[in-house]
Amino acid sequence: MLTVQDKKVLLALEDTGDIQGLIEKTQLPEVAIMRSALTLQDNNLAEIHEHTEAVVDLTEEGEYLSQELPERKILNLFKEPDTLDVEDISIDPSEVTIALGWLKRKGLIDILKKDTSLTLKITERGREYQKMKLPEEEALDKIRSGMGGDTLSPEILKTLKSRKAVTIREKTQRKIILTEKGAQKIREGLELTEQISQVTPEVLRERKWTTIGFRPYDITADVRDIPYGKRHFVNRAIEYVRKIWLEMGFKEMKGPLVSSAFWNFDALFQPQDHPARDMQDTFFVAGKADLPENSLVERVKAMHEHGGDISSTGWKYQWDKKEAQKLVLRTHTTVLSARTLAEIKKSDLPLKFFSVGKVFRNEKPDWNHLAEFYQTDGIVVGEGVNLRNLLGYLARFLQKMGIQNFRFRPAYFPYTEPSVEAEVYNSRTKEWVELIGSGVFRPEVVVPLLGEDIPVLAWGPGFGRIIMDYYRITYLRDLYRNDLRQIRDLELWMW
Amino acid sequence: MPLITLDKQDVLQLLGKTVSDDDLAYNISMMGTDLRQVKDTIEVEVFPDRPDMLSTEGFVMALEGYLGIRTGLPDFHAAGPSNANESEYSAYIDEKVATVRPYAVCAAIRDVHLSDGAVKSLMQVQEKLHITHGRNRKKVAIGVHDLDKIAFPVTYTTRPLNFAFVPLEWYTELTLKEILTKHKKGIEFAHLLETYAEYPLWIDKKGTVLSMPPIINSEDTKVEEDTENLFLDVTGYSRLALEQALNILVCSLARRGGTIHPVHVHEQEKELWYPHLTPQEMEVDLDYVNRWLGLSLSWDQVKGYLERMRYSLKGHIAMIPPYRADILHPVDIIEDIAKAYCLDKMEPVIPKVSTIGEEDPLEVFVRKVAYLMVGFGLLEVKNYYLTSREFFLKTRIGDDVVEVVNAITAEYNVLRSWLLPEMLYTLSSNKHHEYPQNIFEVGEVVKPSSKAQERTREEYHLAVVLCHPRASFTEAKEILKAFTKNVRNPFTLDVTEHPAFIEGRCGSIIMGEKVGVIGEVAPEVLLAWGLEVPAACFELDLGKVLSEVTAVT
Repeated sequence: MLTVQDKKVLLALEDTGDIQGLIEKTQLPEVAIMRSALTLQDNNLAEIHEHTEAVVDLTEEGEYLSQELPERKILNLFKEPDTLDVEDISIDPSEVTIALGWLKRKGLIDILKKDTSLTLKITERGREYQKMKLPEEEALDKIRSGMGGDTLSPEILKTLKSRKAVTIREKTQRKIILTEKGAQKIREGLELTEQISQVTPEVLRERKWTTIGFRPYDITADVRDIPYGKRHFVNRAIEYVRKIWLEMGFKEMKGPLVSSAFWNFDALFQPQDHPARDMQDTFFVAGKADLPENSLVERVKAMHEHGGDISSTGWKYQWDKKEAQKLVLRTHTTVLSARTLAEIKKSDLPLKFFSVGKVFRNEKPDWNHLAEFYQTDGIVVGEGVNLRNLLGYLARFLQKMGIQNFRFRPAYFPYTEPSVEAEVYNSRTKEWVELIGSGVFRPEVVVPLLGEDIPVLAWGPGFGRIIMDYYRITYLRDLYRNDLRQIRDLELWMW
Repeated sequence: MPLITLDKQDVLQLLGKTVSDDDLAYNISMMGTDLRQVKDTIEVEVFPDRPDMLSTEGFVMALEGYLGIRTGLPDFHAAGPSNANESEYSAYIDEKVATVRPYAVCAAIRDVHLSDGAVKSLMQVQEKLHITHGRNRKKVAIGVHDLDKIAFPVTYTTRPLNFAFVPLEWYTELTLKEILTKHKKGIEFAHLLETYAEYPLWIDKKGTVLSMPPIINSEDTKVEEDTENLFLDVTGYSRLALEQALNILVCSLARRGGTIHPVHVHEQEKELWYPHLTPQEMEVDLDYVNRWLGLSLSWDQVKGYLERMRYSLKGHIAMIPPYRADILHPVDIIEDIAKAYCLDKMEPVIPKVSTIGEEDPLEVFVRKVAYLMVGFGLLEVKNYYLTSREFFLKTRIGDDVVEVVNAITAEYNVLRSWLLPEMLYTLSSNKHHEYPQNIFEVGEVVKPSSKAQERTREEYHLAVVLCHPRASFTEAKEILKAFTKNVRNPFTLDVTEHPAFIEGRCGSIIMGEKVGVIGEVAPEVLLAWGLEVPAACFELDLGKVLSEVTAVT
């Protein structure tokens, strides 16, 4: 895809590879020639050869010295006698000292002391150099005639530099050489008409394309990476999870992140000495919560102590209100399911609810453990719903999350019975991996909240692992690394 | 959940049948334990409601039923005299223990051959019961002794702290007080006793000490390699939990071939016999079972399933194995039926329950706002809710925050009340990337609130931070303006001061009421975060904005 300019430069290359020459021949500025040269090189039509060389420039002092060196002036004063009194030298006194220094160093004169004045005596060598040029003189002549630094010996350049006669700089010299392919291209003939590059309002107004046509672009050329706005990939996944439940007719539950132990544990029939209520597992917040209306608290207490008025033994211990008033960061979103059950009316059944929210575990965070993560809870409340229905909803959720190879096995949660764990098969490690904790709420949970023993299907999976698998992220912590490049570069959540 | 390790050969020997590793793995998972591996050893996590499966024997009793090798209620009965006067073994519970460690139960086992496997299992079940069922020995502590070294009757009583005996793993006498300061186990569990004036002890007729519950047994009644007769003592705070632990131990030892001998326990006026091995009974309602599971099982099927879970069914009454501590309600029996049926073979079905899906309005609003921000070219970041107080100090935000009282690290000791500090952290950790770094975050923040039930309230915030060499107040205000246009709600700015922002370049955002703040981040704050690029930002409460928006329309 050569532009007209490129073609002009290509043609000119037949005659010269020298940049200066190309400028003269094409009447293009140097930058344009170099841009075309790069294009030609990319197309293997030409090669750009570069080498650096030293360029020597005369300083003002150098200009002066090149007219006549001070030592030459003195050398020329020696006529028939070999000696000369310094006092007889009729040149600028400031130059005399310098000149004498150089003459002496080069062995062209000897300096003799006589009384208080100095007498100079020319040497054999001095006589010879009266007839030929000194090395500095030769070098200065060359520089003046524009010959490159490469033709001068390093020693002489050093001498001239020390005399502040010259400055030395590096210069990149480019030469552009036509390749065989380039020559071939010229032989095939080149069309040199003008083409439209950028489509401008002017081009449109004046209908230029109808006469001169568009220059084809190199559409394979790379372009820059642009900054752009985008949602965080974890939020994309959360959005998708929400969509799954909404499509299946679930209504959203919301509730506070800080919860009383009553809602987080007691209402879910977790005995007050249950290990999950330990400081090691649960974050506590200072202060004492208000409990809900008293009759509900009494029903929960009775259920813990002796199974209330249903056919349960309860946990057989003395329930303590103070323990229930402790404030915790919710350890599961199942707390929202419990609150919801306490709010709904039997006449509204059947009902289905979901939630997506943060939960907290007092673990020491490392690369694969977080103190907080997202959970999505669901409940289905209604006469006639059963364990197989629970499996049905879980299977649909898993399929929608792109998981095909899963199974159900027994599990244990204090508030569900039966309890079910959905496991996914990891074909790499050949292991079943836990994914969804679920079950049917125990009557000990449902009766105090809802007032009747009605089946409530419940589940509460985290889904960080699914996001990690999808994005091939190895460590859990990398979900929240907030590396802007990562957020920008990760592909979209596909479903 | 407690992880136990079982010797596979020992398990197979007890099963009396060869079972392939694959069959073991599948059935162990499906009968209700969390399998880790089947190799030379079997590693499983036992669910906390099934302490009976913490011993090899208890595990095998469940597995042999599940595999159909031996089904129905295992036969446990106490041998020996059943008449109080004839009892060889009796124990007295002194009322002095009432304020220290009130309850104790015990049993004798004879003729058990403590093979390698049996000893390992006994040690494992004791240790795991202590940790889980026993809540680290506080609720339940177990002592196992050589029956033949004990002169009956034994007494559970207390002794003052200068009383001395030789504890296990020690060779001289230590006083009770010294045990808590010198002995490894004493140091570990000192907190369970150190507040009392006297400590509990089991002492026999001759004055020989058996143990100092819940800390350590004595050297005198130590179980040796050739011990065949055992005395078990269990002490603690919950009689129910003690009885459960005792039954688990005696049933395990009986499964190894030991015979169970009752102990007559005199507890003040009460005359008790231990262990209680009579099965608990619970009625099974077939209709309830089928409704709960979504199956149509017959009585015969239910009977078969229950027998594989080691129950017996007499009429409609389920006889529960005496080692089970988890049967509170008929749903617990239903779960066992489901396990025997096998969850893996249960067909999932979605019911025809018609309901209408509905999203929380604030969530809908937040999502729309987030996409608007994306349209402004902003990149979304997502930070933790738990953060460090340090972050707020660095950002010069002195607001009251909700603090976590037992955080493991200072990295996470408060709940965020603003999004800005963590967003500045985000910028400080992205300095190696190209600019502009124009970011936004939407998320919940938590603030103290004495009136709320939970003493806290939450807000849903939006924060925008623009960070690049030419970032300015004007640019932030332009985005704010575009945002407010899109929610059809004009805003005004009140000049305000905040230490996080440059004086004279900071305002309160008013949309009806004050909804947020906008400003150029103060250079001191930027430098505190190691940022040498200017930043302008605004942060507002989307909940308030939404209520203003809905009030308008």
